[in-house]
Amino acid sequence: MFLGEIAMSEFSNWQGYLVCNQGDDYFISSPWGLNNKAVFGADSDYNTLALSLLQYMLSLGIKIDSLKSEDSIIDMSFLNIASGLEENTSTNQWSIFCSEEAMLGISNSSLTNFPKPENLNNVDEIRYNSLSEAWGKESAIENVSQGAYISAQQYSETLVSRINLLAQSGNDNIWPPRELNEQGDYYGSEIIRLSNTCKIESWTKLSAAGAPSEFSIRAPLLGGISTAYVSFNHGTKGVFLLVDDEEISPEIGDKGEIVVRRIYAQEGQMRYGTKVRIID
Amino acid sequence: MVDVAIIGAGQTKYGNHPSGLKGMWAEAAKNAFESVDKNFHPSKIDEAFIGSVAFGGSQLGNTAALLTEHSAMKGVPVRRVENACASSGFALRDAWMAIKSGQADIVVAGGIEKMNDLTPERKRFWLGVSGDTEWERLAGLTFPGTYALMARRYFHEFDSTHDDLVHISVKNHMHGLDNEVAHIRKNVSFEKAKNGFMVADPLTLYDCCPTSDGASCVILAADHVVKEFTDDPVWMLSSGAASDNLALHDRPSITQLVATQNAAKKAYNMAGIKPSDVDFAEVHDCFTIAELLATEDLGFAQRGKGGEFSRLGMGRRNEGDICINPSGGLKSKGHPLGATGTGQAVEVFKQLKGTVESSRIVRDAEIGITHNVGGSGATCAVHVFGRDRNV
Repeated sequence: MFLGEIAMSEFSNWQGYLVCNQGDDYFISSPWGLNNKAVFGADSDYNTLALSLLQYMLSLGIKIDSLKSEDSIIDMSFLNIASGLEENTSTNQWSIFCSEEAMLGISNSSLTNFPKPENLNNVDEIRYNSLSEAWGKESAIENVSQGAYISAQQYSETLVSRINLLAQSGNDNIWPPRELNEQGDYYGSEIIRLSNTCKIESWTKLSAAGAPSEFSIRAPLLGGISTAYVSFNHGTKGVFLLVDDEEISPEIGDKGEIVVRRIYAQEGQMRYGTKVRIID
Repeated sequence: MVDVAIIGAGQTKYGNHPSGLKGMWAEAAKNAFESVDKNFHPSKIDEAFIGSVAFGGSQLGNTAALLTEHSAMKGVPVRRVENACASSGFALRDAWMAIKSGQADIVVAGGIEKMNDLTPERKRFWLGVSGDTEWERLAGLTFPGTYALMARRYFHEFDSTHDDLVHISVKNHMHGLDNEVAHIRKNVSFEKAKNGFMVADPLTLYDCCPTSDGASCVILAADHVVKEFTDDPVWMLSSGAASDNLALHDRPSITQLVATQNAAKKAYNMAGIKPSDVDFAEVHDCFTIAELLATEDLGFAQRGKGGEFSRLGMGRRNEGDICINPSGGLKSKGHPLGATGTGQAVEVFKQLKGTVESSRIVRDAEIGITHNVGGSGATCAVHVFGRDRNV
């Protein structure tokens, strides 16, 4: 169900996107534009927009008991895992409505129109079309590994921890999760969520030729892929791709924010994950 | 306890080898057999350990059984040893332990990798499989990226720049120039290495080792049978090994390899030597930053001084107290993953026997070591070798 649009509205920045609310209706848009329409950035889609908007609403203290979508383009299983919400179970029902542009809304009533953000950042049309075509090839069921790879089960097993930055509690926060502790026992069930801000400790830009096979279709178009090594509170560290694969050169010490984006697609399944966005 | 010596060692030339797995292994094994001074026959081999990542997957299962069948070792108890790029470093350790345990007298340790028979597209699927794939590969990392993160962090923490890595590249290409088994035999100028194609910022093409085909093989013997085969063995004085977190981000520091430090400490203690006793070292320079870190972790330079060590040319052959990578290292000699560890031992054997090309010899060398790292430092084996049985 794609809906129309209404007049300009006041948007604010959130996780690299633009968000606003009008009463009980909440909206999110890509910050990128082409021919006066919002279009997806290099690693975004409706699911990453929806999750980001949900996280925005939760940050405002909005109570969301359950969530549904009429659009098959929305992957509810991913959203439920990533947000912890359940589908179609409660009276306080919220729905996702997708625009035909790179924007969507979440409402507990119904939506017929979308506000339009001002001043979208124009993307290069050729690059945009090339990347869209590349994502299409990458998402095809025929796009399978020709060797070693991360299976769908392996990906799914750590998805909750990956998307939600869920760490095991110990002397330090332990992330990614481990099986047995130093005493040979399973770690306890106490889970804590890492802060979604971090500090850049190192970074690199890998040339297209050196990128992992999963990125081999898009990496040449992007001119390579960038990865940062970051630290969270209490010494926990992680490595993450940079958001939007932008042409940026972070500095060690820069502050970053962890957000959810598309990583790559394989065997017809989109692999979502966390990336770092420089906010300093 | 029994002492262990190397009585023979051989390898293929590294690079784009015309043979497949069977042919390469047969060549390396034959070269090793023929390097034994006297009375050797493959039927005397009690046990064999062959390291390989099985890159490309053409013979993932029972690799070692296939190889021994084609190298006059049919029937010998054999297995493939896999520890990423440290596979044959650990095969060597296993062979040493087999003799130390008293269960075998003559043991083969070797390694092999065929990397250049794949299309570039398929090859990419086999790179980056030795990190913590769930977390590092999803972050877009292969090993050039992983080591690039280490390099940038090192430059941030210490008095060092990319120029220090360039010096390492230039040195190793110079060392490998006359090495007849080296993959890349050419001198590289400082300017060319400094301005190479950027592979993973800040690492250029000249900071990265090539992907090579190759096989290597060493023959170990217990002290009580050595005299049967040679009057001039190279003694394997010790074996140290250690492991660490697989993923870079799980380690407290990414500017040192704790596995190297621990493996070296064990190896030095067992051999009764200090780092300053070492005359030359075959160091795992899969990337130039790896050699810089190794010079510190192995005790040749103080922590944070590896850049200065490189800048001052302290690892150059016959110019300082120690020679780092007389073979040219992985950078010049090449890096056929599973073959590298025992390939290093082949170089040490020939250096200590004085049978390398005359222009490459490390003068007056008595003690050499090998340092073989798996992945970005998750596994490491360090071995100490000597001209004399006791030091």
